[in-house]
Amino acid sequence: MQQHVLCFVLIFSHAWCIGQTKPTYYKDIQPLLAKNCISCHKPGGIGPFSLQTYNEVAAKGNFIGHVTKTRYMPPWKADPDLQIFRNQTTLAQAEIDLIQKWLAAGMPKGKKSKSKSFSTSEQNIKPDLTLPMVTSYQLTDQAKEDFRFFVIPTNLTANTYIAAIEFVPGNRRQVHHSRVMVDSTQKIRGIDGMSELDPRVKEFQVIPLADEFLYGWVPGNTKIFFPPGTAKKIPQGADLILNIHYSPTSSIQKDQSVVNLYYAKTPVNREVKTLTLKESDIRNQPFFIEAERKPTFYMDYPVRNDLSLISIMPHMHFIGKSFLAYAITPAGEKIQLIKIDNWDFNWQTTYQFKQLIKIPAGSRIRVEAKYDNTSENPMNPNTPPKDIGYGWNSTDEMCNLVIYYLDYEPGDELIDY
Amino acid sequence: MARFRYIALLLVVVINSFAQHHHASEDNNTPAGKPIAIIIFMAVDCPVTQKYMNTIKSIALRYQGEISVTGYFPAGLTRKTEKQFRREYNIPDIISLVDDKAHQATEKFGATITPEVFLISESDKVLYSGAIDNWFFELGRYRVEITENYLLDAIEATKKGNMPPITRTEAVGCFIQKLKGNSTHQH
Repeated sequence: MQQHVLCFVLIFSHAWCIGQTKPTYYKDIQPLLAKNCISCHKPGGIGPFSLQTYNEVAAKGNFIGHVTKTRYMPPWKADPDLQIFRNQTTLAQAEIDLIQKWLAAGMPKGKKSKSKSFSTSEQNIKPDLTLPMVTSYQLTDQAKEDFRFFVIPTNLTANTYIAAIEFVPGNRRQVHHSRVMVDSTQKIRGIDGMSELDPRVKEFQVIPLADEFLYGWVPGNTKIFFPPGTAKKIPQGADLILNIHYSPTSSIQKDQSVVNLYYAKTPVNREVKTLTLKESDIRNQPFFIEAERKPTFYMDYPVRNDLSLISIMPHMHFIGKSFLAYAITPAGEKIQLIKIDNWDFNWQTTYQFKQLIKIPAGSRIRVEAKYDNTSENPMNPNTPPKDIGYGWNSTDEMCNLVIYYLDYEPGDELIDY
Repeated sequence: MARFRYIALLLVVVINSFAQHHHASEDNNTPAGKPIAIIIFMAVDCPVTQKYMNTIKSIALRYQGEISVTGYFPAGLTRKTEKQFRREYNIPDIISLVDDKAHQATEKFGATITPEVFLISESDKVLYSGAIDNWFFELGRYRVEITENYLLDAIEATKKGNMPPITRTEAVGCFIQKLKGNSTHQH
């Protein structure tokens, strides 16, 4: 009995000691930052400052504590409790608490361990085709937002299957987000360099695109890659259309961003297809948002064949407020796809599912997209609010759900890639 | 070089003088007094500071010879960094940039954010403090159109001898890291 009591006391006191151990930079914080932050916050990285050394981190300690506690950083807009994505950049609550504990302890440095290496596991595969913007674009230094279209001819001489795609911002400080589209008609080339505010944009938006959203990029994203044996087709002679959002700057800045294509190296058995739910899939038409209104639009799409979902990308503009997508199977089961409670136009991205998600034939994919066109919405581009209809311009509105999928094959849910 | 040291010393003296009185304006019955200086806390690597440089320049030019504009850098500002920062944002000499690594100004004014402004009166009172305008409404989120120009409104009101319509707002931007062993309040 005495032995049991002694054991219990020892175990309890050991656990208590662990619980009381002060976290240190080298033991706890550096590995956490290396895993979640350093890919952007390094010299020349997309983050505004480096967080690679103790001094750099300690100089921003309180700020790091605040932005992680409020989940502003790392940037991730989808609800992590509803669906897990492979490109997810969220901290666990325990990690956020650890940072707070380290700050409260006075940011102790601890002892540097020579055996540990915290280099980020960036893949060093070289792209097969590097496509830079044709010319460098100079931004205005008048601290104005700039939304601009650019055309990059691929000059592909045959239909080409790509296993991965990557957007690399030329100016890491100014490129806030970008969307890559594919045009196989070569009739959109006149949009190159055009501002979204240019009325001529409307002439181009009537031309059907081969791929409306090949890829959506925001800071923190790396390449999107597809499961082995699958690939996305880029048509022969296609043009890539870039829609780039530049954040305001007070200094003269230039950008020449790049799209990298990685060809499929193994035989392509299955083609990655795109399903885009559009404004025409909205049940409660018309898609028109009157001033001082907060409407919700409901999409309902019938799924005819079994699908394996690879990724998902919601798209709205400035007055979008929240976005929810799910599927209801014929058996009545609800499959959660994505939930974004606090829509932010500046942080839209392609969300790649951790594992392929099967949507059986006969299911319905449903979307609830809320908009706020009132004067209380600080993101409203109009003061006072105006009626807003459909359009490519960010001050118009859109309601899309872009899904990359494969035709389902048994075992897809188990593919680990 | 000696001239810069003299200016820096002079500014420290002026700050101390301002700071000793800056809480007086919290009493709304106190006559406002004419504005003579704008103090702005900045950080060279803060994206919000960087985005506001154009606005800060335009305010400095608009009130040139009437209201001085001084940027204080709580994370420090070397001569080299100042030169780079001035060149990148084309900052004119009418805006003074001052190293505040020892947090003399930061602590005196209780600044916690960059950019955070303090509008100072001829009688050394803080007439207005906080955000320059309502462009940013939270970290990383900013309006397409600015609808409130807090600092400009405060300047124009106090120039006419009136109280500013708003005397205090919460600045939105990067946190100023408090010095170790210092218990200065942070947000």
